[in-house]
Amino acid sequence: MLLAVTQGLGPVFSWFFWITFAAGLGWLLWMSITGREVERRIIFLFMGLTVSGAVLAGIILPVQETTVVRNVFDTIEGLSEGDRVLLSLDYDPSGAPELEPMAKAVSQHCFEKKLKICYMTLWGTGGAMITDVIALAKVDFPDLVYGDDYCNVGYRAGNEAVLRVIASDFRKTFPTDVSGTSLDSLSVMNGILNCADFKYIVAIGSGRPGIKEWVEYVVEPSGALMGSGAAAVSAPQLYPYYPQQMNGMMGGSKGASEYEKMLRRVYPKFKSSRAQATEIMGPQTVAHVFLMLLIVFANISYFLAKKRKGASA
Amino acid sequence: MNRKVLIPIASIIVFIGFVLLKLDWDGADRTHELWEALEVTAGGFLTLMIFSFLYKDNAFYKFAEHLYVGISAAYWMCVGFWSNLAQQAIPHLSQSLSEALGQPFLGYIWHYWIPVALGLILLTRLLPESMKIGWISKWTLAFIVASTAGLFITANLQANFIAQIASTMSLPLLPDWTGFGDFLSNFDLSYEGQFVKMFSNWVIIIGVISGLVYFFFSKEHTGWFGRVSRLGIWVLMVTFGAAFGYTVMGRVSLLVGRLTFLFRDWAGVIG
Amino acid sequence: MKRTIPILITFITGGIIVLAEFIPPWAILREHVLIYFQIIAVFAFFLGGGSLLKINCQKVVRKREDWQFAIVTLVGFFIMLALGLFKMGNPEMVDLGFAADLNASGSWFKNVFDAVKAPLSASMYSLLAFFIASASYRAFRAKNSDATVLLVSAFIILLGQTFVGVVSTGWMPEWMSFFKVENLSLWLLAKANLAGQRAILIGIALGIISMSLRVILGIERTHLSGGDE
Repeated sequence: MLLAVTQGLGPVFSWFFWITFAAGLGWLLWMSITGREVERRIIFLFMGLTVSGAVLAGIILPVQETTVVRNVFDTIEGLSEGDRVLLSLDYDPSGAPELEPMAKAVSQHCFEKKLKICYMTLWGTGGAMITDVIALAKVDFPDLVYGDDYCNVGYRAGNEAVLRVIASDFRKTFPTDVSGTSLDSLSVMNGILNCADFKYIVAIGSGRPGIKEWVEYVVEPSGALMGSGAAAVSAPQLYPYYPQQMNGMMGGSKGASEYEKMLRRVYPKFKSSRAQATEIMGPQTVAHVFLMLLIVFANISYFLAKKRKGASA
Repeated sequence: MNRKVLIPIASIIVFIGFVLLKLDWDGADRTHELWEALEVTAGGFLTLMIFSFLYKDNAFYKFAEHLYVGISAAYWMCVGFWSNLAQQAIPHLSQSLSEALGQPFLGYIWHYWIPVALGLILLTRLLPESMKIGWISKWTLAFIVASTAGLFITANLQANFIAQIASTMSLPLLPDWTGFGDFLSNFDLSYEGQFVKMFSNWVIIIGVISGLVYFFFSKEHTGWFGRVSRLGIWVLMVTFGAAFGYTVMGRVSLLVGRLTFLFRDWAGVIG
Repeated sequence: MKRTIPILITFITGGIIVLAEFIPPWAILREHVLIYFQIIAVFAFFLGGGSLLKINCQKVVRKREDWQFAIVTLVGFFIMLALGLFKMGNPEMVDLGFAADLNASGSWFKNVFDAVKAPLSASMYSLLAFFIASASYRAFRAKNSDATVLLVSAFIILLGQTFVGVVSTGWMPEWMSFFKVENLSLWLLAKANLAGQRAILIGIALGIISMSLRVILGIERTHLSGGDE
């Protein structure tokens, strides 16, 4: 009922909201020009209203594809039916808004191509994330068979130590899957002795241990082919590894939304599936514009203050 | 009634009210429905409690913060126990215990007692200081630090030192070069064009060298060395600017995620 | 004994891991050491949980400031511990017993994770969006050339990640597409940022290598100092 009321009031509310908001921004500019202090809680309020307004308005904006993301997509697209992919979900709920869409899109893509996925995680919280991603993927692929189409080896504590061991012997660290089933009895893991035996590794991570560690402890010693999905915070730090040590990367929700777009372009059946990252990009754009305005206002204030100081001296 | 009693009671009543509102009374699986309602309601309340810190530190925020710490510590202990002890160590140490934990026995390996012993030694740090036995935990600490140091040496040498220098120095200074005439006749500023490729490679090579010069503190940053170091600072500033831009993007994404949850799942004001 | 044994452990453990890279037959030794490391890591979790328990119990018993909240921590801790260790309410328990996946969909452990830990964790980090906005307004000023470069770079990246950037320079012809905001942003990230990050990476690698060598050779011993030596 509440939804119906808000939808009914939508246009009126929307105009009222944005006009009030614009007036607020004008006030902020006036405060900056006159060199008066603005309490930080007012900035918080503006930020909250900006993003809330954009989320409520449901703004969806197009995204442009980039080579760095396309490389991940093309690599998976180039694999053959039955090839094995290792998908490591190294994040927690705080990284999920950016990274879960990537994990979901890559899973959908692999299952559509009839590739077999082995899920694992280096984060204790990753086990729960794997459960969520598998549940999301199963919406489009309800007939997936555990052990034949995918498997979940879960989590091992030890960060880099885990990676260095699985680079040379996967079963030493993961003799069984998450439910104690021997990997030898899972067809997904047939013939997989170490990480290099997977046709492709996709590490989706938001910190340490994550993509950087995958490059250092798996790609370098074993020569495995890897792509990645990074939280926006860590994405810039990973460019030195691209393209020599990892052949592609999805950076933040922008990267995830690009992947969603490519997936829907090549496989239109996914158009009905919710594009979580693309939904983020609208409010993201509005928030970026607001932040840029803040920076401009702050610098106007700074230069005017400097000018006033110069004039009084 | 005292405010300290009234506020928690009122909060619990409001919480139960929200759960009841969220409950789907016609659902087939009542337990599942109840968990769903509890999950969404608790998620919404706890999100608002954390956001209340933006106004000022308060009891609701403290409640959420303390709950988070307690839940997280237990979460990690459980996950660690079931993943590494129950699935990795015990199946090589005791058949009866591994069967009791539902895990297949993978063959006895006597030396797996070593990490278990070192782990138990680490826990002596929890004993009272008066027992004067905590020093023994340094054996385990030494093992942890040494393993990490050993791993760091080889990984950094390979992936972050040699490979990075090789990636930089293997960049062609004149990519796709077929002669000066061709270069001039095809000159443009398109992103995929030859000039931009060449310019980019130069920027990378000069940028890496000047950045490293800035980090070289054994020589005074004056003269030509100072000028290269100055360029290095600019390169680093661009790097920090990019990092800032992406950090903003990441944090805004998280906020959008939370607000979407609040508006869609909790309040139900968007579809 | 208090000092010599830890130094010996450090030397032997570190030595095995490093030398195994150059002596292939030693790889098996390295793997054993690293498996030990994985098992010990769990005891570090227990140590963390134990310390938390100890501190909060002391806080409640001695009625220190905010002791009521320590009870919240303890209640949350014990509930989650019980749900996880005994896999309570786990639907897979029916078929698999204790082999059931701890995070199985519908298990009480996973439900509490989704209801409490997930929203708290996500909300804590999303708070930073507000603080970044405030910091941008208060501190992000073009005070000198360095700050200006940083500001311009951040501005282009922010603009380039969104549709506004694409629209603002969409009119540019292909021959000067380098100056389109989305391309400029990508270039800054993939080329100029790469150069800076690589310089930092090489610098850090050199620092880590030298520090690690000092630790393994026993020159650096600060991790063994303190406490009841």
